[in-house]
Amino acid sequence: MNQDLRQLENEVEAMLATWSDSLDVLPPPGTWECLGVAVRRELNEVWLDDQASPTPDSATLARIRQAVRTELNRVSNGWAGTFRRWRVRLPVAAAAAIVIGMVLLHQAGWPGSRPTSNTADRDSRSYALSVDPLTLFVEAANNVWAGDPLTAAIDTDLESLEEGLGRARTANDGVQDALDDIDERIDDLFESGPIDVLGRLENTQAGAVG
Amino acid sequence: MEAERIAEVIARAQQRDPGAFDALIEAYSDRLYGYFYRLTGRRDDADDLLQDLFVRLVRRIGEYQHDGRFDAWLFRIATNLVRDRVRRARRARTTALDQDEGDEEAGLLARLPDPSAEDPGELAPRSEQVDRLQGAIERLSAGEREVIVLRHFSQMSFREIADVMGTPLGTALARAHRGLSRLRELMNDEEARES
Repeated sequence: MNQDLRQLENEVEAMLATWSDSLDVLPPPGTWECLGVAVRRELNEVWLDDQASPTPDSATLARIRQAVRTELNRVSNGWAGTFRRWRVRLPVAAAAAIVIGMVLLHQAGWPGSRPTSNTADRDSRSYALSVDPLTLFVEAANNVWAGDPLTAAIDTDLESLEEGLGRARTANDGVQDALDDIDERIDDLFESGPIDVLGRLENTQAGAVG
Repeated sequence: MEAERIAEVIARAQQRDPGAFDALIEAYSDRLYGYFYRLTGRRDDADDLLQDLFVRLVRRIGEYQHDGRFDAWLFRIATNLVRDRVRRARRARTTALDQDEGDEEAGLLARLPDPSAEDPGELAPRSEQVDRLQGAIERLSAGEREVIVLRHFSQMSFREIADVMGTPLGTALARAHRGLSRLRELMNDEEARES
């Protein structure tokens, strides 16, 4: 071990000894060892701080300042240019979209007037060409509805609600059937009833006379 | 640069004030240059990386939200730049070997140390004169080298360093301790050999 490293170890020991004198109770040996490691690392960091490091020369710094200014200009122009371009293009694009939309609506008519097709086994490009834009839009909306977790959850809720309504309707139908049955029997009773009653009355009267 | 001044300079830089960038260059270029030089071992690479860093800073300064840890944020970008460069250098070297051509850039960059490599012996000897500390740093493992250099120049906490390097805190501390002890030993051996 050379002089520098010996000196380091002496410094570590001296520092630990100073602390140990000021403590009433010494920590366990493991803790003491960890403390020694931390002190050694700290002293080594101080040693490294004392070592000189190269610095950039003035030409390099000037080049960097220039590059930074160029980049600042590029970024600023980029934003301004983009804004300028869009300020002109946006209204034109909006107007074009409205015109195209009106033409498409005019050509397509309203949804439901044309048969929808199953897209599963068709080439999407030829399908898109063969189906009117409004049908495509409705199908796309259905796909989005099916694919989105939120709308899918709403869809499930609606399905269960519909099922519940269906069950209620079925139960209601049963009650209605029973009521219809009772109604029919009452009708039957009234249709055949008076004859029997009269017959029974005649028999009763004849028996009383006889 | 004291904390209040840094906050003010950063706010101006976020408004794209060229003077603020000059102030940042003034405040950080020495430490960043040292960091790049100690990791690459070459002045020309350190020059390029320093320029790349400040150009990238112009683009990314808007993302920074001042929480008093600007140094850590800046050195994180610097670390990623070095890693990107090493990756590109390795690709260039592989391509050059595949094509069996003496591509000059590949030749230069092939000498960059690989931070992901643990074997310190894979560096090719450099022709330029380097200081003794640099020679000793390059003989450390890549992990030890990165922790020590990052700690020395960025003054990050070991927790932040562990975060940047994607290692547990204990690993960063152990590498720092082992690497620093070894570095000092290597320097002493070198001195002893010279004398």
